[in-house]
Formats: sequence, C-alpha cells, structure tokens
Amino acid sequence: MDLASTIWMILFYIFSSIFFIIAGVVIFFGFKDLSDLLSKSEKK
Amino acid sequence: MNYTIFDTFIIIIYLGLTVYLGLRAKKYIENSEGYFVAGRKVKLALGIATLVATEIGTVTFMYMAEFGFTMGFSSFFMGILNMIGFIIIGYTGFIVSGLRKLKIMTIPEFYEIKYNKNVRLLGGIVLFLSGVLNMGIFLKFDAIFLSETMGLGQNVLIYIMIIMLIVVVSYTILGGMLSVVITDFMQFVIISIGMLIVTIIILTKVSFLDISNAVNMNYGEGGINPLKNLKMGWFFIGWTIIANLATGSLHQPIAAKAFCSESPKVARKVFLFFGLTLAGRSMVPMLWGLAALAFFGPSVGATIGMPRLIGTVVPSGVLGIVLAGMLAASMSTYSAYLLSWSSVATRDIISPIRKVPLSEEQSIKVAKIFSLLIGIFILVFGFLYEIPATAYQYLVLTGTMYASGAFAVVAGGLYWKKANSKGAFSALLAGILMPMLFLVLEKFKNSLPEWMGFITDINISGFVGMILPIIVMVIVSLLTQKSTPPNDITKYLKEE
Repeated sequence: MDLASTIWMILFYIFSSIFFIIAGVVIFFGFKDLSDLLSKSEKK
Repeated sequence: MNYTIFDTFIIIIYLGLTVYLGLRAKKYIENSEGYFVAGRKVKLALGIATLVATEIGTVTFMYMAEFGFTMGFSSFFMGILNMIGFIIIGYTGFIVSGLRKLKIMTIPEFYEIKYNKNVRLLGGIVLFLSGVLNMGIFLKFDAIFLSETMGLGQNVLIYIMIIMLIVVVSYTILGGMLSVVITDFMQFVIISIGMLIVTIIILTKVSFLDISNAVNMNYGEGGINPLKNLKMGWFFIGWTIIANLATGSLHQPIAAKAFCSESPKVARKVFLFFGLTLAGRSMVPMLWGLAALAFFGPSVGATIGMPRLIGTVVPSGVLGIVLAGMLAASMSTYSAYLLSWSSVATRDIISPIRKVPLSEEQSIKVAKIFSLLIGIFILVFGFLYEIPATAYQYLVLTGTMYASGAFAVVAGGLYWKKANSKGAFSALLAGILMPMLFLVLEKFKNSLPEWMGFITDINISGFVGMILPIIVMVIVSLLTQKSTPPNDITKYLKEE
C-alpha cells in the first residue's frame, strides 16, 4: 500500500477510536445524567 | 441479501421500546421551558449523546458514504474540517456561550433582543422554510437505504416510513424535548454499537489494501490528495470551515442542545467533545462507501453502494441490530428537527405576528400542531420530489440559505457593537441570494456567459454565499448608524 493511503488509514484508526472511546464513556456516564434529569423533572 | 424475519422482529421490539420510553416523558412536562429545552437541566454526557444522535441520521450515513465513494480518501479531509469547526466553537464558546447566557429557546429570539421584531420575523421565516426543506429529503434516503439492505420493494417502504413517522411525531408531540433527550440517548447507544459492528465486519471482508487499490485505480491522485481533487480545492476548504462555524453554532437543532444545557460552561464542553467525535463519526460511514467501491466497483452507483454492501456482508440477526441502529439514527434526527422547526414556527413566526403573545399552554399546543404538519409535509415531499443534484449539494444549499445570513447577524450582534437592525435585515436577505442564484442559474449553466460560470461552481458559490452577508451587514450597519442606533445587549450577557 502506498504512503498516502497508509497515512489515511492511520488517521482513520485514530479518529474512529476517539469516536468509539468517547461514545463508550458517554454511554457509561449518560445513564446517571439521564436518571438525574428525570428525577429533577418530576412534577411536584 | 441476508435480511430475514428475525431482523424484522428485532426492529419491531426496538420501535415498541422507543414509543414506550418517549411517551413516558409526557408525565414530566409542566411548562414551555420543559417542553422546548428540557428545563435546561441536561448534563455533559447526556448532552453529548443527544447532540451526536441528533446529528447522525440514515441520511448522514448515506451522504457521507456517497462522499467516500465519489471522493476516495480525500473525503476524510472533510471529516477533519468538520472536527476543527466544532472544536473552535467548543474551546472558545464562540456564539453558543453568548446565546446560552441569554436563556433563549430559538435563534430568532436573539434577533428581537439585539435588533427588532421584524428581524426576528424574517429570520424565523427563513430558518423555518430552509430547515423544513432541508429535512424534506431525509425520508427519501431512508427509503433507499432500507430497500437496499432489506431487499424490499418501494411499495412496502412507504408503509414502513409512515409507521416510523407516526412513532416519531407521536412521542415528539407528547413529550417535547424531554422525550427527544430520552430517546436520543437510547438511540445513541444503539447507533454506536451498530457502527462498531458494521465497521468490524466490513474490515474483515474488505481490506485497506483493496480500498487503496480501488481509490488509486478510479480517482488517481485526486482520491488521495484533497487539494488535487477537482471537486474540492481551496474554495471548498474555506467554505467548509466558515459553514461549519455557522451551522455548528447556529443550526437550530444543534443550538437547541446548547440551550438545554445546565450552564453555558456545560454547553461549551458538549460542543468540544462533540467536535472531537466528528472526524471519526464522519470517517466511519465514508469508509463504508470506500469499501463499497472496492467490493462492487464503480458501476454499482455511489448512493446504493454502501447499503447494498451492508445488506450483503452483515449476517442476519446482526443486520436487525444494525437496521434498528439506523432507524434509531433517523428517528433521533427527525424528532429533534421536528421540535426545532415547530418551536421556530410557534415562537418566531406565529407569536410575533399576534397582538397578544401566546400563553405557555397555547405555544405548546401550536408547536404540537406544527410538528404534525411538518411530519405530513416531509412524508409527501420525500416521496414526490426528485432531488435535482446530489444529496450533499441539496443539503448544503438549503443549509447555506439560512446559516450564511444568520452567521453574520448573530456573530455581528454578539461581537460587534455597531451591528444594527437594518444591517441585520439586509444580511438575512443577502444570505438567501447566492443559494437561490445557484439553484436557478445551475439549470441554465450551458447558456451562461463564461464570466458568470463561477456562480454555478458550488464551492465558489457557497464560499461567496457565506462572505456576502458579512460584507452587507458591515456596510449597511455603518451607513445607518445615525438613523438606526444599535442596541446594547451587554446587560443581558451575564454569567450564570
């Protein structure tokens, strides 16, 4: 594979990993945020 | 095709769960702030999830894959440009922090605070029309995607689309932004898992070497170097950066997520982390498009290559999860967009033209009616309208129609003390001019004199379209300072 394609491949792996890592963290903490939001929004 | 009844079963369970959760949000809605901006209580992780889910729909996957298929590796460059725009917004708080401090619910509300009611009304109309038109082709692309992955005919698809739309419209109407946030989060989980599974499966079937060979053979250097690509170049880069700053901070469905955040600081962080995900989330579907090029060759067509690849290589069972993910992506986009455009119609078009402002209860009721009407419109429009150019061109043009004028008006209003209402009104009109000119003149491009050819180049037209309203805003404001003194809004921009 030529150098330019290799560079694009590396960039793809870097940026897609960033996406999936952030997605994982967001899913982990998002459940807590969602339950907080719902408890704060409960009608009094 | 690998699609089976088992996949249908997974999709039905998913749709049922979405309706149930979306409708549960109804019990939490007390007032218009709860309905339109989820009571401004959304924290960081949830804010990122809901913004990512809103900005990924099946149409996003389709046009990103189409872009990868037609541009080769050069398409990845657009993903990086998208990322830069949002990181700038997130890092500096450019526009979004200022708007969040003002505690508004729609962008045109700012126009009345800084300028006057007429600017708000014009801004509301332009935003509503361009937004609804922009959304008009989403269903069409969902139809193409589903027909290719499920192997069903177009006749069945219209029924699937109607069911999907009924589901989204019902939970959006009843639960407002809270139901959007709840279902967005659930959809974010499914989309992320679906994207990961499809990428892994595709990379086991099509190697990077296959893709590299296909790109070199079909596009040569233009497929690897974005500056050598005839469809990209410097104007494209300049236009994309400014357009990303504008739409990133001012596109109502995106900005609404800043308005929902629990503070301006959280709003900035949501945009920063969203920006960090953007390059990857763009490159993943672009890679699917590139893999389709390598797998089938160019004859399959840029639009249907990616869904056909998924329908061919992803096994049954997993395909159901992936399709549920795609439906999730579309539904989260529809619900957020429906709520955004109905909010704008209610608060910025109907309310300003009434002598007596709408009460909280009335504004929620009117927004619900608009959500329903927009839903019916996109169903009819999506199936009757034939897209004149590529999906990307259409989306960009309708987006530019609003974003270019709004960018000059909002950025000018927040950061330039001399911005006045006449300058703002003129800039909004100037923003519509270039996309309209392009749309009309593109039809007659063969009979145009050579010197006018630049207008029918989408990159030059887009770039000029972004710059022109800024120039108009500055010139008109400076010329009318005495007759129309600018409003000072610094007292409203207090930190929370």
